[in-house]
Amino acid sequence: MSLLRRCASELIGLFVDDGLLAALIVGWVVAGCLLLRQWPGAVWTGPMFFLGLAAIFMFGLVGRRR
Amino acid sequence: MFRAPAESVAVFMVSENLPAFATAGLASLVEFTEALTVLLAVGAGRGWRSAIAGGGAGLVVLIGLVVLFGPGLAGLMLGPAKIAVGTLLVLFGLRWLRKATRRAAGILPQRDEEAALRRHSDRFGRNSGAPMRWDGIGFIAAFQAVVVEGLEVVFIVVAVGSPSPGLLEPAVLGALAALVLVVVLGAVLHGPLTRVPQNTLKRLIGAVLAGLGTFWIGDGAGLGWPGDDAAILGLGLGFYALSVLAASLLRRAPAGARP
Repeated sequence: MSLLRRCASELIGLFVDDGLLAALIVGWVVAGCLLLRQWPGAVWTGPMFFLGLAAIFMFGLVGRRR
Repeated sequence: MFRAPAESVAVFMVSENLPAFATAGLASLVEFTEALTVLLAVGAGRGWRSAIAGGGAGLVVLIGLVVLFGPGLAGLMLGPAKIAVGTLLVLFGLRWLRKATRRAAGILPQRDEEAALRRHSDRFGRNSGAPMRWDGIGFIAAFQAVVVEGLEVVFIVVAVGSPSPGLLEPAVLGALAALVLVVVLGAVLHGPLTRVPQNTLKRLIGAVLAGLGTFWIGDGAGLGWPGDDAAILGLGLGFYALSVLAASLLRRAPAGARP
């Protein structure tokens, strides 16, 4: 069990080192996709999605203390 | 049917294969360099036979994972699967980019392979017996190091190779080229690879992977991108620019206010 737990922990650790940040990213992926697909194929929707991720990235680095 | 070798190289260089080869290769270079440091410590402390055997066994597992997941994923890259893989790429890429940015800003120390080798050597102890003796602990330590560092390589190879079946091969070749380079240099130098610019590479690859993941999420969700596939480059540059900006801001912040 402890070996399985360790493997799971290593696997999760590949993608998550800050739980709040990971949650914000996943949350934006869900919300952003649901919201922006109202305008399918519109050329500004992709960059708008990127801006959301950019804001989360900067918040995680500069915007708060850990 | 058969191309002259020079023509084949030229086609490879200008095709979409080169980004997949380069991304997987550079990322693998970083991870295999870290694994080599541990293997050197295990070899010196517990025996080279165990270090080589454990490392080799770890490689077999990694290759098995690529064979298992790689081709299968290439056939599934539609809609929700693209969003899921893209999200994992963004999480992975931004994790690398965050850490590299904090190192560039001086908040975290730069990775020092010499110091890492000393730490691992203290952990594994000094071999008082024959250097080619068999040691179970050494085998497991070497196996674990290669698998743990290599899991990131597997993810990158599989993810970068998944948009189309033809991209898996250059991604795998890139990883193999990095492996051969690290093994040869490690054998020649008998020491850790201290000159690999790990932080710079992690920052670059992190930005590329985050950009790639962002594009795939958008593509899978039906969002539009100016310039279509060319937007991937713009996204990677965008993330890298943010990293440079963030590092600059972090360096200027008073010590107590830094995250």
